[in-house]
Amino acid sequence: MRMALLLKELRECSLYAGLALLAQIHFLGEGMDLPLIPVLMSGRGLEIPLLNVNRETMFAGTAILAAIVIGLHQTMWESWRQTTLLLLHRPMDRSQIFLGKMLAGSLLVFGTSALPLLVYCLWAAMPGTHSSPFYWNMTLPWWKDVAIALVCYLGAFLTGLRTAAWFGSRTWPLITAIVVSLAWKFAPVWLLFNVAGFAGLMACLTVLILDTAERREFP
Amino acid sequence: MSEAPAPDAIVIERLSKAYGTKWAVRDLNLKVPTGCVYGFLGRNGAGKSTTIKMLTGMAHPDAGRVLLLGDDVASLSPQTRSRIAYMAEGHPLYSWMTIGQIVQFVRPFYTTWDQGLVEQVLDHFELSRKQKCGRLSRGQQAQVSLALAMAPDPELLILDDPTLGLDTVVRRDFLEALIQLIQSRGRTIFFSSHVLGDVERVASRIGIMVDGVLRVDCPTETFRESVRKVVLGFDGEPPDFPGCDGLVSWRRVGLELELVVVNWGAPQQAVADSLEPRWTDVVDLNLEDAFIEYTRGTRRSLPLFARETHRADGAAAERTA
Repeated sequence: MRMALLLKELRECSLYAGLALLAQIHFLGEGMDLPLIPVLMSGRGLEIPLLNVNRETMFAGTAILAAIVIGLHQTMWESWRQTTLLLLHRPMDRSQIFLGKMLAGSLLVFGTSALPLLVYCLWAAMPGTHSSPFYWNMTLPWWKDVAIALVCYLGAFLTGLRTAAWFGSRTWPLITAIVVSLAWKFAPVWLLFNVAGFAGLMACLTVLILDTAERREFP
Repeated sequence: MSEAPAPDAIVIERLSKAYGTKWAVRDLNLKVPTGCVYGFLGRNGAGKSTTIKMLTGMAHPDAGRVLLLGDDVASLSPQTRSRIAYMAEGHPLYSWMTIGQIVQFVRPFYTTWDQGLVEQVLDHFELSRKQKCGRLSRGQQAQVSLALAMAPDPELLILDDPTLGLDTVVRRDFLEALIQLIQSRGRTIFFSSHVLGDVERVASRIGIMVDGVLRVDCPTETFRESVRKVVLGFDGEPPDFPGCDGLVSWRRVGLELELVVVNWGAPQQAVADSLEPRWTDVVDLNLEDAFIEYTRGTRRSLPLFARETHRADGAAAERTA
């Protein structure tokens, strides 16, 4: 039954994930001189992989946007269509249902950010693919972008799940997730603290999501 | 040795829920015996849907508790939930799924899934497995929901206005299928509805909510037979009715005084006679009329659109003087 739930969630958000993946393939493909849509290529390649700030911004923006859309779709769409009533009456703990949803969403966020990034990094690490130096720590800011996307996904999920009378107060989890994770990315701390910080943020949001799911009333 | 009676399928104890300062449900106590088909009635905003949401755990009560098949809803285990089917109002389905896909999605959640029954119900309603749920009519969505609800062979079905928005033919088909399934399996059904004809046909017991309070909980026939409309005819302006035991409401309609009384009998007749009406007419009501008269509410008089000055003799002759 967990597989049924997982497959349903993956299928439901596949359109957004697919579009985001195509965009990432294009942006990162440009960096490898292999753009998906050559007409849209901005300038010639010939760049040092992973050091082009514009490319990283495009990558991060796409990953974060896709994460937010997936998080909101998984919660608000289902609630709006009232299919939550169909789903929540299945014989499964409510926390398990929401963990299943989050697992599916996280996989999609990974699929649209970490997966293309891994290919890009492996290409950059491969000797003979480009005439510039490569060190694995050059990839760190990019992996932090993946972490930011995950935090934003959870923030969007919580925003979609919780009820509030005013739109502004409803969006605070998402706004907080964006601001705090961006600030944490640039915080001058050791890598270990950085990783721990992101993990802590994700853990806090997951606990809040499960608590909200348990307490919330569904129309 | 006598067999122990089956425990009640639903036990509701002092259930209350308020939205802001308004009570949606107040101090509700109810027991639905196993095997009973219970019609849960009330006007819009009477608290039916809120009660059903609390029954299914979708809303949390402010006070009181609900036991379904012996388990508290607040901590309902997946095992117990698998023995309970719930059809939500509007029959929500995933619009992007085909009927076949939604069956495949729901099936793995249950160990007692009866695929044969699903096929039977879908064939009965001539539903193709390849049809998208988003393109189904309301009636067809209800039919798919019924198939999904029945397939795990639940011991308790909770249906929130299952025939809402269905046309007469589809509604009849749906109910007949439901009745067949009930009769063949002897399950407990708790359903709310606005269509009193449906309730009369299916329910063995009814409950009526009025302003968040359960006012009636009795066998359907008992309610129908207990509520009487009594019309008192006068030559001039009817007097105020002084009140009597079982009086639900009274109102003036032209030269008549209409009373709605539960358990009309000699004491009530004596009070009516004290007003010296020209004639008295005790009207039997069907369930729909009884429900309407019972829940119409406050003792307000209908506006007098056309003052009636004389009555047809034929109609008057039928009345008891």
